Amino acid sequence: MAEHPHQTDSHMHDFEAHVRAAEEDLEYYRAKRIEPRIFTLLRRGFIEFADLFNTASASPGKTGDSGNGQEKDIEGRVRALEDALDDYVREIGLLTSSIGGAIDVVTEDSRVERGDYNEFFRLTHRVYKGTLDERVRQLTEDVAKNRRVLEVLARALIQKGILNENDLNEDREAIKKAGPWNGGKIVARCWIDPDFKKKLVSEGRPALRELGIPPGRVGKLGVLENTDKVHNVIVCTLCSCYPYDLLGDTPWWYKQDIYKKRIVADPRAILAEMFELKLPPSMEVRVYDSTSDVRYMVIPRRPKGTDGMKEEQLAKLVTVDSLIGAGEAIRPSEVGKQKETQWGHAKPRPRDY
Amino acid sequence: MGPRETEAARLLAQLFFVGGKITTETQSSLSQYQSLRVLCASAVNKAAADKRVEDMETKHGSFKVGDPVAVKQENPHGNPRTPKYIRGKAGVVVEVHGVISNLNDHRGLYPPLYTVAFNVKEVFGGASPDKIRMDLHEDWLEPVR
Repeated sequence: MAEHPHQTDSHMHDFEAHVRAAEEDLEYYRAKRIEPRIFTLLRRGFIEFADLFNTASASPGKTGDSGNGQEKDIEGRVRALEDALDDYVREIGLLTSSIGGAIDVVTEDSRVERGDYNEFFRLTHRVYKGTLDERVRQLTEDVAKNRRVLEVLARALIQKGILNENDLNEDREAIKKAGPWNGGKIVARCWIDPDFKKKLVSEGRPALRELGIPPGRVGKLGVLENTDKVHNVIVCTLCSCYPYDLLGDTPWWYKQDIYKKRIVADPRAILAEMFELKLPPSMEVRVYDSTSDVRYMVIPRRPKGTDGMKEEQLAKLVTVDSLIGAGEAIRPSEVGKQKETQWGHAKPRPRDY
Repeated sequence: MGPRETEAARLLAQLFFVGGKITTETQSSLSQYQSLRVLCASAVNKAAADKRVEDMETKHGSFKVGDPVAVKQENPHGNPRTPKYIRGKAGVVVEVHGVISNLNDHRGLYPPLYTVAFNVKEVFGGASPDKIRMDLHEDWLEPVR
């Protein structure tokens, strides 16, 4: 797991929520992000099953037993599982974007291949059963197995000349820089500098250069400011579009059908029920259902009692949920001890930035 | 640079600076240079897209902020980016985005994009006072009189 400057030592409260989040995330990334892409490679003849088998038998595994430590307590094992899953998710991001750059395949192809528009193509998701302990053990094993798939796939593509090993290693480092802490920086600057906010809203990505954040290139950036009169919340009901190249991957629930279906049908009620976010009747709620062309982020309301706080401190009040509009920015007293509910903050990965 | 790279660079330069045509021959000669494959693919895509952005921006852009619009039930052009639940519903344009070039995401370009505001209760029934704002491409929209 990459260390980053905002990491804190908060404790988990709700293991069930963390484990459920890990189950949903592993299955989402396996069945929606990487295996459909492997099918594309097979379908178009870039690799064959035999290449993967040959590569696998010729190269012993590197990633095998991370998080295996039986000596750890349940929290330690769940943390190790989440760290391994983080690596898995990041590596999928790296491989899919590298493959996308090397062969003529676009995200839209994957949406078709993985069944976003037609359930026929959907891969079955595994259901985890048993005690919490058993599920953690099984998940840990499955994450290791699936990381091994990525390792073999990358090696096979390098051998085929489709990917370049040096480029992969360089990009792997670069990819670690995108994350919700970018969102924290952006929001904090908006709170203290109205001119920057205006520029960001009108120009989008190019305005980020003055914060030292690479603007990325996944569509246009839409910026929605929450005020006392209007509360914005974002969703992508067709897939799970989000400015992930800038803000890191979405929380697990953002990609779930239950969130997508319910948030558009009764936004205010669902915010209260799922995220314990109760909004006054006087506030207009707008749910933004986005395409891949404009990817939205929300600027949450600035919490009360934060006058005079430094920009770096303000950035820590911005949660992943608040960047989506499913939560508020937290109060200074809540830093490091955010409440974990069944939905919001259930999986604070990247961990408690 | 070896002779292969030189040839690839020549083709790229032709595309970018001389305004050469993107033919299938150019594409296939570029794509045989495996070490430059990424560059070639994105160069070809970009040059083609720039041209299409120009063409489309002159052709489209029928709606403006405040226009009442309805979402079509079907889209003959195959652009899939419109959820089923909003088809046939009426809303109002609240933002005009224009043609957005997004070549990592989909091939070519979709028509101009608009943010359209809908009332939740008109889409799903019930009594919700809330709003849905959805980004929709022009080929999915028709004017309401």
